[in-house]
Formats: sequence, C-alpha cells, structure tokens
Amino acid sequence: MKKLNRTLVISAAIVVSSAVACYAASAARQAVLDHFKAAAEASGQPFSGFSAERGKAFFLASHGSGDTPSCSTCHTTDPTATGHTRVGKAIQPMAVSANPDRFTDLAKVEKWFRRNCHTVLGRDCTAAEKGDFITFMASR
Amino acid sequence: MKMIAGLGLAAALAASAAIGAGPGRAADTTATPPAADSAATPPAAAAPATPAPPPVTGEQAFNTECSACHMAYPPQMLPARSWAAITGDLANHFGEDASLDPATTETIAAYLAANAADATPRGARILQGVAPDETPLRITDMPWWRRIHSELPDAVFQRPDIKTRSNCLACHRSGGSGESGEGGERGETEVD
Repeated sequence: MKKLNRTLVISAAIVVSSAVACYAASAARQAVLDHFKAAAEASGQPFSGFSAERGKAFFLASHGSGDTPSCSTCHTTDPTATGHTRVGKAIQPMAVSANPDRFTDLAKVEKWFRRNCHTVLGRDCTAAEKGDFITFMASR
Repeated sequence: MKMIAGLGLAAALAASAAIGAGPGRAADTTATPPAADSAATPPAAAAPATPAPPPVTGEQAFNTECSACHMAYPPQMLPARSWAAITGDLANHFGEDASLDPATTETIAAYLAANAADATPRGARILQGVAPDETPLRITDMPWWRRIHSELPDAVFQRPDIKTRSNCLACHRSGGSGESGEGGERGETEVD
C-alpha cells in the first residue's frame, strides 16, 4: 500500500509538472507573438493579425536561387520532421507539437530569424512574416 | 511522512518546470543578449527577474554556438589567421548568415586564436604545406587533411548520408580531436 501511494504521488508530480511546463511554454510563446504583433502594428504596413496559412505558404515558398532557396530546404517540407543543415547536422522539428519549447525564447527566435532570413531571402523578415511563421508552426 | 515528502517533491518539480520554461531563460547562453531588430520593443514578456547566467567561457560559447549547424571543429586544425577570417565575416559564412552579437563573436574569436594550430605545440604538423601567405578557410583544404583522406573518392563524400567533406561526424562518430589520432585512423571510423 505504501509503495502504491509513493507511485501515485510521483505520477501526480510528473503530470502536474508537465502540465505546468506546457502552460508556461505556451505563455512564453504568446509573449513572443505579442512582441511581433506590436512590431507589426507599429510598422506602418497594413496588418490584420497573423495567419497560419500565410505562414505555411511563406515556409514552403522558394524565395530565390542558391543553396538554400527555401526554409524547407533545411527544415524539410514537414515541420514535424527532423531537418538537416547543409553539413548534415540534424535540426529538431519546428512544429510545436513535436517540440514544445519552440518559439518561447525571444532572443533565440530573433537570432535565428535574422540569420536564416538573410540566408534564404537576402533580407530581414518583417514582424508580420515572423508572426505568421510562428503561428503556422504552433498549429502543427 | 512519505506522502508529505512526495507532495513537496511535486511542488518543487512544478516550480522548477515553470521557471525553466519561462521566457526569461537564455537558451543559448550568450554573455549579452543579441540586439533586437529595429522595430523591437523590449520583450513583451514581463518575466520575473531570473538571475543572469554566469558569463560563458570562449570554449563554452564556441561549443554552443558553433555546433548548431556542424560539429564544433577542433580549433587546432586551422591557423589563427584562418579563424580570424571566419569570425570576421560570420554574416557570409560559406553561403549562410551565421552572425552573432559582437561580444559573443569576440569571445569566440579570442578562444579560437588562443587554441589555433600556430598556438599549440603540435600545430607544426597541422601547418605543414601551408605557406605563410595562405589563409585556408576550410579544414578540408588543409594539406594534412587531404593527405589523410587521399584514398577516399569524391563519390564517398557525395553519399546522401555524408553529403560533404565537412561532415566529419558522418564517419568520425566520436568526433575525435585528432590530437592523439583518435578517430583519425582507418578502422576507427564507424561507417563502412
């Protein structure tokens, strides 16, 4: 009986801490999205909210020639799949369902958008594009 | 008594998970946060102030930042001037933007310079065949590398599971540093 109590308590602890972690991650991701929403609204460009559909199209599109014409070149066309860099290193999935920590750290998000948008598009992504992208990944 | 201990454990786990997943966490442990883009307002997350992580060493920064896309190549495999050329133009890093904030870049550059081939005792072997006015940007262009891998045809490096000569870990799974020859002898690679 004592052993069962201990098992129950530990199981409950795991369930509770997982639930708290999930909640905390989605709150952190929402904060990141709110940051880009504010930036998009301040940008002077017309903005009526983020769209997962637009994010999907942006993710899959070919934005140029060269070694990495598309986000999907390295991340693959399936956000739940493991991608690969040009040198063969694995990239963990972008989809939040496969990787709940994605897009919860603004500094990390901005670093990778800066680099990868420059590489793939040759320019900074707009706040609207970033928000659409995250919205798409959070929906998968 | 055990029940109380278990509940205490549950509370501690929940609290640490909440803090760990919060927006204040700097997942990439850079010493200073990178500059936000020009349209940025301060991060919207009003995270409780978590203590700043201790400053990372050049080695830690290098291992963290420079293993995101490839293995953290051993610094002694190139001369200092080659590393300087690479860290001095990270925005154009073999066709990709690998830029970092200036402080982190400087920290990494200093580490690489201090541990480059011309700064280490056995570096003379690595530098054989490299003229002083040459600045190889790829380890795979170094004469010692070419000599060691000379029997491997191009077709091997074009295999989809290998992709490129720069993918050391495809064959050298343990990522041997090469200092003692580990992972560098035929028969010690883990690919057929």
